[in-house]
Amino acid sequence: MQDHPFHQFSGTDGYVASRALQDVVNVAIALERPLLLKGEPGTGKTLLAHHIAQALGMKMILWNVKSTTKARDGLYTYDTVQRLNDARFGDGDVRDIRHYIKLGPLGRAFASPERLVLLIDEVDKGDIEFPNDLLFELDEMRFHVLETDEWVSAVHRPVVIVTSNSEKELPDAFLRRCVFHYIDFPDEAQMRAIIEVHFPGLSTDLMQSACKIFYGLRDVPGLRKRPSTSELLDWIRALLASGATLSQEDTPSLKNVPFLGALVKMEEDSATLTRHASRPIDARTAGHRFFR
Amino acid sequence: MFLSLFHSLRALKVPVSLTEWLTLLEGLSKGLHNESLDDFYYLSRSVLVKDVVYYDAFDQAFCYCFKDAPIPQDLATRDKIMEWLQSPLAPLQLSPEELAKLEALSLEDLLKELEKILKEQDEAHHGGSKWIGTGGRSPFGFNGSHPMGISFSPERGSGTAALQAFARRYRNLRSDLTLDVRQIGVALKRLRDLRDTGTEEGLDLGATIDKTCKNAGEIDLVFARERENNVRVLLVMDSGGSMDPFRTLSERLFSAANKLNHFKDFRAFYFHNCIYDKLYTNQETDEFVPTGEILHEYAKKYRLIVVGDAAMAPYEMFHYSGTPDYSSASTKGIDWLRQVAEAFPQRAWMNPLPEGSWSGFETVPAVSALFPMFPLTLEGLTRAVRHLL
Repeated sequence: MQDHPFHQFSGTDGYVASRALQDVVNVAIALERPLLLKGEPGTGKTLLAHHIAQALGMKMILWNVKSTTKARDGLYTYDTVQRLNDARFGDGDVRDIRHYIKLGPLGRAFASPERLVLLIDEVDKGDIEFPNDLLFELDEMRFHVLETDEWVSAVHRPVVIVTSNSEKELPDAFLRRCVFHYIDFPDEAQMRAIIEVHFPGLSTDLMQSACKIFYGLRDVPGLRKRPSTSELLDWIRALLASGATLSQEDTPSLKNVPFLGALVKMEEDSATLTRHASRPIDARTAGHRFFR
Repeated sequence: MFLSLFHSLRALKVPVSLTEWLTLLEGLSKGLHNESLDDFYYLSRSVLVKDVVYYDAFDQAFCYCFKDAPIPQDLATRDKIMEWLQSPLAPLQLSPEELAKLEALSLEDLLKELEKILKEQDEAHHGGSKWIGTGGRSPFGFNGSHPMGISFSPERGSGTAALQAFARRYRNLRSDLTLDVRQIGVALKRLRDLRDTGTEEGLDLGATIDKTCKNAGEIDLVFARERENNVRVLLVMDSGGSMDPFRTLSERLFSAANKLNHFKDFRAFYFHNCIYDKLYTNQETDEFVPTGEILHEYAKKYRLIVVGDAAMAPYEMFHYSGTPDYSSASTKGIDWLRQVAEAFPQRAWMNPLPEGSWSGFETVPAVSALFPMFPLTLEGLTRAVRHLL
């Protein structure tokens, strides 16, 4: 059954993958199952697919799911409007319906003569039934084009990566067919490795205090959106570009952090931070104890 | 030899099916475990477990099967008890004489008795006098009338329980309920009012054919705007002490509505026991929005769904300032409820208590006179949705 050589994915120069992640990617490739990735926003779910493609030397097709996306859109669309227009103005070969069947991302991945990576990004953004509608296609790796009565089947089963932000529960039947991995938020040691990859030769002082402020910020209770890896990287980039310095105190106050806007994006959260900074910890919990 | 892992996972309520098990065997036959325990761990976890909430249970099962760790008994037992206590009965109304008849045991006696019962009991018993259950005279369980009992309610309830058996709480209750959240989601999807407000234009095939025919075959394309759900929903949930047994249920409703991505707008607020001058935005902290402001902003445009047992102490509803905390409030609870009801013509009250027990509470009829009340079940939700349309 094993037609393909066992691809060994072990991260790339631009992507630090934990041991668990490497194993899971290899398992998914070998078992030819879709790999479902969950995790906090900004932990590099989408990026992983790009780097798998890069590491395995394959092309990547991106299918970005939106709330209006239908499962059929991924397979193919029949451009009625174009055909009618052509019929009206006498352009093109209207007789051949095939000219007006356009393959979607999934269709292109199946039809491709070489094996490639298909990223179905943010699958939970779609309709509640969206993943169910793809079950057959992902299982059998083929689909039927109604208009031409033809089957499009995969020459090579693509490496399918599915990402989800857990906005919606995914149907059981879909989950059963996936290999699942939850990308943990990187701990400080891992984070340093990630920063090192992106900013080789960053000064230890800056790394130290940036990590301290960053993890301190993530611990503030009640934040609607906690800053993520990608925001940390942006923030460090901003710090480097401007030459700003961070204070070296042991407990840095969050008030005087430069470019805080790169880390905290919501107005509500800025307010929470201000309140957090000016309010003793005990007072915050005192109110709701009463009701418990 | 690996079958014990499968069975332990099932015992710990991790939804593992045969499909996944066969996938794992396929992986093993391909040698993906690399003959190392670590790789086998990642392989089996990624194939068998599909949600991060089960990672903990998986670790426990894995340790049990391959590292001879004991199966966490307390967890299994606890879940069993909590299951027995689901859908509780309302407390019995006992006279003081009857109460006195109930034997007041010492704590040691109670614990001994509890141990005995845990060995014997294997299903839910409600309304009785011996087993762990709800609404009865037994010293075990909650909503019981026994004056000196052991409570399994995750929070302090009416105060007579001698011991909080389980202090551990699951804050994050939107976890092990995938199927139910989906079911609720599907029920809520019916709550829609499609309007032609979409911006994306699609070809209106029928109209195009009509127009083309009228044009004697000269093709004329007709476009129509896509339809969009126009329903806005305001969910207000009781998070007071008496709602604790139903917390799971109301969190399910919240997750379903929140994740549905189906309404034009969705807002959620919390209140404690009764709606007063403040509605809370967060269960954890005491951040709030004045109720008046909410009425001003959302009235008429939103459909209101209230989740609560409406079983408050009468003084909370009919007297000024229901709790000491609301000393500044000058309006009775019932008046606030009336104001809210008047502001939302399309409203429904979901009550997690069984429909038959509503009349047993003094405050429920008063509330249901203001808000059409439905039981918080899938069937009741369907009825409520129909009513809201």
